[in-house]
Amino acid sequence: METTTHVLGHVDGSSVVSNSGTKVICSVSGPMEPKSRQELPTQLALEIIVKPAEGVQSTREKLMEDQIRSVLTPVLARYLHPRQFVQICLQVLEAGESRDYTVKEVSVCVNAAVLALVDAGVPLLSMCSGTCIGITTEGKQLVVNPTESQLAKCESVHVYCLELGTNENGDIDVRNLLLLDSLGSFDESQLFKVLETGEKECIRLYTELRSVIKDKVAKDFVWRQ
Amino acid sequence: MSVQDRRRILGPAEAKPLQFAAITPVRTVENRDDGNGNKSGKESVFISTDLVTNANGSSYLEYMDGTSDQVLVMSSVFGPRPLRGSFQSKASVSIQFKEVTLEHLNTGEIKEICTFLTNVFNAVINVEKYPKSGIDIFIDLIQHSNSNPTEEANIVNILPTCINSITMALVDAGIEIIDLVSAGSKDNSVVAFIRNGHEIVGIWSDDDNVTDISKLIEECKAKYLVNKQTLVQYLK
Amino acid sequence: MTESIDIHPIVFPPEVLARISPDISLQRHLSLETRPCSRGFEEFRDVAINDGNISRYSTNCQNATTNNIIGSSLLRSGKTFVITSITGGIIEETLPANNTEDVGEEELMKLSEDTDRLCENSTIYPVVEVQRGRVGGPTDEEMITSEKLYKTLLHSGILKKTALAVSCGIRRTEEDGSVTTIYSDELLDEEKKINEANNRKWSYVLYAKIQVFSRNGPIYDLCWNSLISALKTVQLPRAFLDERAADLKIAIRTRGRSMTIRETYDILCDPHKSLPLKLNEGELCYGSNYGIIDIEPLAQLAKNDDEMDVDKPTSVLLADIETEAEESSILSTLSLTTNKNGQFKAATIIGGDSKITPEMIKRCIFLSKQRSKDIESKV
Repeated sequence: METTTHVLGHVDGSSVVSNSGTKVICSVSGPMEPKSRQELPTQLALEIIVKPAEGVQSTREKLMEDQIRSVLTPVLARYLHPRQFVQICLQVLEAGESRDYTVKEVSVCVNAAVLALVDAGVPLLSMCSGTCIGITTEGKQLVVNPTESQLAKCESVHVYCLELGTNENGDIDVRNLLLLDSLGSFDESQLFKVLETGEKECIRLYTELRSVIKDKVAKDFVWRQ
Repeated sequence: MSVQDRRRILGPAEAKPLQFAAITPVRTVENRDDGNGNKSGKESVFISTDLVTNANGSSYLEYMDGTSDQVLVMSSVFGPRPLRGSFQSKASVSIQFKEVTLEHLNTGEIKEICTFLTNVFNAVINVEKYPKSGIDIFIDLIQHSNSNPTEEANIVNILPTCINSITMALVDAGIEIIDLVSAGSKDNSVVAFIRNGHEIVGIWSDDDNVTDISKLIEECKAKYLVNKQTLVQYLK
Repeated sequence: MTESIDIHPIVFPPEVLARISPDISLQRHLSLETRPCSRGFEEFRDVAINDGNISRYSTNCQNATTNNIIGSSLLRSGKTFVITSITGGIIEETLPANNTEDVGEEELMKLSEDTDRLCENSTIYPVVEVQRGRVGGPTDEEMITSEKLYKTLLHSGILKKTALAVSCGIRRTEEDGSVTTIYSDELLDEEKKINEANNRKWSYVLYAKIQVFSRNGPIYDLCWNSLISALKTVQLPRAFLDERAADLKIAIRTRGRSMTIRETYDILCDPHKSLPLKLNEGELCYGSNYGIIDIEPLAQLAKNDDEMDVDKPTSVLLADIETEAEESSILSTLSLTTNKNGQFKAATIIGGDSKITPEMIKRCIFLSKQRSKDIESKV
């Protein structure tokens, strides 16, 4: 996973994340004044916009937005900003998969959004990371982060996002399963294998994200030392 | 359409809808009409008012004319509910008509139906009672078995059932109306009445050569009285 | 200035509390071990499915001559009902210019099957509409549900491209004016050759119109079940070309080169003959949904003073989410699409607040297998 943060000057936070052929740029604006119909009386309102690599928004992107929303909502400390709103805009630069799939884009979008939220200084309750997994038709092998051609050979594809944090002792703490979205043909044991493998991969991504953030904070707050 | 609808999944643009070859005349018009509008057999109506639960009031009517014609109509009433914008001293009534399964009517015809029904019900609903409110009525035509896109009689066949259905939905919603509206049809015309047929609230006619209008009204009135009796019986 | 302020507790009737504070209302219900819809925690709504007599191929259809609906379903789950009507279209497939031999083409098909699994799968174009008493464009929920149905069916392999191929017939008008229609599988061998010279391929396209009434909870599973039961009733009408049109060619000359283009003409459908749509019966599966919610000790109705302190937040599993209170307060949800043997086609698990444990997922899988078995017996 390659990441860059603070790439855009006119928004509060931004990031570019790419992972095995999929590349997404994300911008975060807010917390700011919402339009009246978006306003929530007790919590921070969230708007997520996904723009595809080719063409214009369609129902495909609406479904992606919905999935990303369900991942990010529990992670944000929404009670801290009632009647305000955050806009997260995700532009897919390279899809890395055909239009019939969204797994790679969704998982990269989640990681990009988390980095951009941290860059914008929006308070989070915990961190999250996302990955995608395919199970091949022949051999029933689990492939983490499949490439476009591997994906096409998969019998089932899965997006997996985990809520993670670090406790007082510095140990990684798996808090909850945020999203599992599976399509294709699979059975119960495969589902649990995906959960197991996904957890490992998410923890790996989480440590990666953490070190990126650590470097970033060290750099941003260099004047404090 | 030049701009593709991006909010619906419409499928490939070059696909053509299925076209059925003209049927060789095996089926004839056996028992639809015996010529002078007296349909053979028993007409029957099924009424239910608890089908749609998320509306303020609703009704579902199945009308069978004893032959093959079958009209299934569902109405739901939303309101009275607050209206946005400037102050209005009367309720604003809106009626939306939709075909749930087959799509045989074009948008122009649907608009005409909506306007006609809105006029009828604006006269019947006690709109002064509900200032600053909107009453939205949705009619879903679930099935009309004799509907034929090439025939003009479609609308006339369904209108009386639509009117009956809206009346029942309004009663179910507890919205004040001055009287139960119902209608009768004859040839290509529909007349809607209230007050035991002493007052007409709407006339729809697709017939260019109506010679004797009072005769037409009398015949529609006879059917209106039957329809109204059915509604009253259900409400008892 | 020393007036004391009296604080009176306000008591709301249950239906008012449910409206103003659905979360507390739900917690109170749960503490009484019931649900706002008065079902048990793991109890589903009753489901009734039939074809609604909507399609032109329905047994009691009155209007077969003018009806263009080729498959339908009417599904009722509790108070909610879903009407699905399937219509069709025909699309000419773009073939490579040099598809001279059928054998080569089949090989090509096989080759592409190996590389891309979705290549052989087909799907339907669904439009979901939820009646909600408003006019205007589709809501997010309608768009998301349509897209989910579209994608799940595509990935499931229930509908294969081969099942939608048109085997086209020819209509002959004899000199005496009588009309006969011949289909390729009814043809004699020599005639078959003539037919194959007409090297064109068509396939059916299916559209689904799914209308939801009295919505009272998540709709995706209901729509999926309704769609599958409607697909099971689909009859594909036989299609044919007019003989005169079949060989129509126009010679044209552009930039000094001469070539022929064939007339584009309408392919017609037989009003009487039809074939059932072949689905991958073994792959059929049905959906169900679940919610997980923590029981808040504070919102509990005190049962007994002794028990008060022992209570600690535990979570409960609710099957088949219904009512606004449940839908808005339960953020951890599972939606599983499976058959009775636990072969999945889709699964969506969202952990909104309550923790989802593997045991709970196992329990949901167990329940969804039972539910699938129940629905399967009714379709």
